Amino acid sequence: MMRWIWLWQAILPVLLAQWQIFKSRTVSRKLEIARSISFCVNRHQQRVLAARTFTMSPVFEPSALPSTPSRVVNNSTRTSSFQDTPWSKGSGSHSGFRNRHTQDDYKPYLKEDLRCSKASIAFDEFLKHILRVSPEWRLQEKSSIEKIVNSKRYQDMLQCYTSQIHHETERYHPFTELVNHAMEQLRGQDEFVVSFCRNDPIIVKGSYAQRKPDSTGVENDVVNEGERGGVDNLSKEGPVGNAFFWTDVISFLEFKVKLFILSAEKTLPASSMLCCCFLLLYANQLLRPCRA
Amino acid sequence: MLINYSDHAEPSSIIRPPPILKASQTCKQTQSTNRCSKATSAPSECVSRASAYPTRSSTKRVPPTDRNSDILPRKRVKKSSEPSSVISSVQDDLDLQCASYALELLSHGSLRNHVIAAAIQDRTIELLYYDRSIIVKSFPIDFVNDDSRFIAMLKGFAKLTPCQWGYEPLVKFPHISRPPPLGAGLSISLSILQGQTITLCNGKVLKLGTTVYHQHGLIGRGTWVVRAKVQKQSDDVAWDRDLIVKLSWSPKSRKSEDIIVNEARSHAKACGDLWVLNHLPNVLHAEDIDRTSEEPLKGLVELLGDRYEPRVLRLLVLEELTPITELATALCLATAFRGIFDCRQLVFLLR
Repeated sequence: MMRWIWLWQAILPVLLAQWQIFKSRTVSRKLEIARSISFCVNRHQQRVLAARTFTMSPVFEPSALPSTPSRVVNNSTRTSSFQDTPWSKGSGSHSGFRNRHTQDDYKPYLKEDLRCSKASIAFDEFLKHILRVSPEWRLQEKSSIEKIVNSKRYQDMLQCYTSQIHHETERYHPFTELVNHAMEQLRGQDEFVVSFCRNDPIIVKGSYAQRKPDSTGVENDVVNEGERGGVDNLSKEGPVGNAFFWTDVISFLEFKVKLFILSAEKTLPASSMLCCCFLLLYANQLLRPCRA
Repeated sequence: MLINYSDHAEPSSIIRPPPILKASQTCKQTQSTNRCSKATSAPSECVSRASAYPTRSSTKRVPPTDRNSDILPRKRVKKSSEPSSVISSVQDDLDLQCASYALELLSHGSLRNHVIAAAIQDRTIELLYYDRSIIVKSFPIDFVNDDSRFIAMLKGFAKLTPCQWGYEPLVKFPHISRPPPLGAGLSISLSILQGQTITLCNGKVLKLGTTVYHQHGLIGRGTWVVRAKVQKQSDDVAWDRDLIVKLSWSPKSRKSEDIIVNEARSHAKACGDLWVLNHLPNVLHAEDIDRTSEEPLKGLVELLGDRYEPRVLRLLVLEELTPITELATALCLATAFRGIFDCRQLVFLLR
């Protein structure tokens, strides 16, 4: 009778657990239940062994002891630091930045910041709401805009920017020259002077992360300081030997190249192109009798 | 209050290969006393007094490169023969790259509210704006074709003041505040607030000291905890001691931390739980510096409405407490640790 009770005590949990395995959906849950079955069976074996101690010497069986559950594998793309806030995944939670500061280390954190907090707005809205340049300004200052755009220096720099290049770096200086020239014309008397200059390939100092923006916007005095010698002097190699600090950097420009040669000509907008096509077709129709 | 984490210890290094360090640096790190901190802020935030920033960060760089050079290996440039699938990922990489620069500027570019920048791809340009709540990107324009918009953009750049570029006027503009950085050590921008003076709205002038804790992040509060001393001796004894200044860009809608701490302290006094006063510092002064009515934050609030979470720069002046690491016996340390958790629970219950 006792044997039957023991047998049912051992079998019943196993049957129940197998039913749970069948019902459970996730693999990890199935594994957990399977582990609990083996533990039940082991407990049964221990009871049997305990009963035998009355008749024979105890036998140590390591396999009969319960084992520590294996560690759950984290499938997350990044490994959390001990100091990280568990549910925060943004760059602010990356406390190990002093040792892990490469672009690859930061990618998952910055992706999270970009995913959660990014907004896209129209260029005009950016001008109006952030840079505070109203759409009317372009109409009011049309003549001065044309004067800047048609100036020889502007056109030369634009030509230089759009000419064929072999490397992205060849575009840095023409663009910064273009920007500095236009900003000089547009700036008022007592306004804060920011100049853009080439920074690549020099690492900006003052941080564990070693980053090198292509072009940096710094105060005019800073770019002329010491051996830096001005924007033109930095056009070839950046501020070699006199790297900027992050505290010097007011803004940055980042370049990417898709086409190695560009057109400096203005292209017609799609609507104008369509009008031209219609005009050509109409002209063809008009000229057909003459040709005949 | 008692701090339960060290700012420079890197427990994660236990489970990953340690970074390559100079023998002298390793020695310096192990010897540096893990001087504790105090929970100066909401109890969830712990700070450390350990400001053991190494003077040269280049030694920790992974992978190691020539330490005498500032020049990184040339980045890979796209070849014109690459397929379109590669080109499509260029935009994502550009976004991440620009965000990484903004992260450094907001973390190590002095006390900054925001960053304005631009990304250029061939003939197109897009404007970028980063602050501690949002990343705003404009749709690109063809600056060769649309020269009037491009010039309008440059007009916007040309008329920006340091404050509109993102520099918080509470402290001096970096270049004015210190000698030129040429030849200076790497640690200069990590201690950029050291030696600066700030004037509080109650008229008191504080001279800032070393950094106790500094959060490195793009989106978030960007908490900065520094030591401070009052410049002129006053009648109030509490102000003449060593002080802690905590700066953080907290969401405007959030309850200020000084209210939470003062409520907990009052409750503790009323209930006779005077041990709580040993953990929660006395808040001497609190003020909110609200720039949401100034440009460009005003414009952003107008444009984005509820999609934008405005933040204010919260400044707290607190008394400095004894570091937890000065407790010598296990019993004292255990009691202090238990006290931290009890305080946390108390503040949580009072919310």
